[in-house]
Amino acid sequence: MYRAFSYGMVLFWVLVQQTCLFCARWACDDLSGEKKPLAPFCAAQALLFLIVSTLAVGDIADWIPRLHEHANNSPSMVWQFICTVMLALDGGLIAYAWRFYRLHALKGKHPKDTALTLFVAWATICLLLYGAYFIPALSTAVRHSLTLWEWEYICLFYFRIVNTCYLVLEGAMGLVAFSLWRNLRKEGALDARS
Amino acid sequence: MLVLDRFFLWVARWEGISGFLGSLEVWTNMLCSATDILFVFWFLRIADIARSEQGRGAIRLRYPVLAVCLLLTPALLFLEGPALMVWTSLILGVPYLLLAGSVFFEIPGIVKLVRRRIQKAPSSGKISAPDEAL
Repeated sequence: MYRAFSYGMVLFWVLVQQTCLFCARWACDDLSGEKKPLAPFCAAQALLFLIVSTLAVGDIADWIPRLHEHANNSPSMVWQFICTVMLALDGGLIAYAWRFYRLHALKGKHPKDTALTLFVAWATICLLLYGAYFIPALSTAVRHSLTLWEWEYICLFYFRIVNTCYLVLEGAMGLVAFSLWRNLRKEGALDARS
Repeated sequence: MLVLDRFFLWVARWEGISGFLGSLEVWTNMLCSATDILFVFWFLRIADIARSEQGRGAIRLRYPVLAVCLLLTPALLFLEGPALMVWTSLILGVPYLLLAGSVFFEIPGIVKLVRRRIQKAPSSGKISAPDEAL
């Protein structure tokens, strides 16, 4: 029950991130006047959600092989993978938030659209981090016959790294939102005076 | 490989790892929750500017909801295990729900506002935002 609840929450968070990402992408394209097709982007996001939710269901239903039997999600590599996906989506959000901010700041000039490239590059880094951490970790766990508790500490250590990255990215998003609000408010005050 | 082996064995078997990871979990969850709430707050402030320029009413109910979530955040300090996960989910989940709804419904107004501001600016192409440093 607890595992299903945790997976439900994490899937909800992924869905929220994807909704925000879609809106941010639409807003940037609309503001810059670039009529890029949104359908491939939406299809890729839908596919990602399908993969992630299938993995979650597979993990709860014990379809995916695991190192130990466990009652919570922390020692699950599927859980850690979904957390990595959330980190990748956070990177996409900051890339589009930054583009939106720049479109407003550089009035009349359209900065080069690097948001998607940055998003893909960040997502690749996140997946490489996951692979670079868990491939040797799994090898160590098998060769040294680590217990469930020991394996859980390794997984939790990884999650702490990911969580710290969330913190940095979400702080950066807050900073971008604050800067945009401050600029808009100052412009509003200038307009009211003139 | 030996270095990585030693690193993972250290993580797995160090006596203080449980306390270290536990306290780090509480602090990072609390800070994540607070930064998320602040992000949603600034987003709502931007939406408020857009709404006022469109002659729509100000956002009222969403701010107290955020404030309640922010005030509940320190309660995470006293929780651990599944209870921490459940409360973090609630304290973070509500602002996330607010964020998703607000972004979806407010973004067209924000885009219109920013477009108007861009069009009002001198067409020299010079950077004219008050905050040029960023």
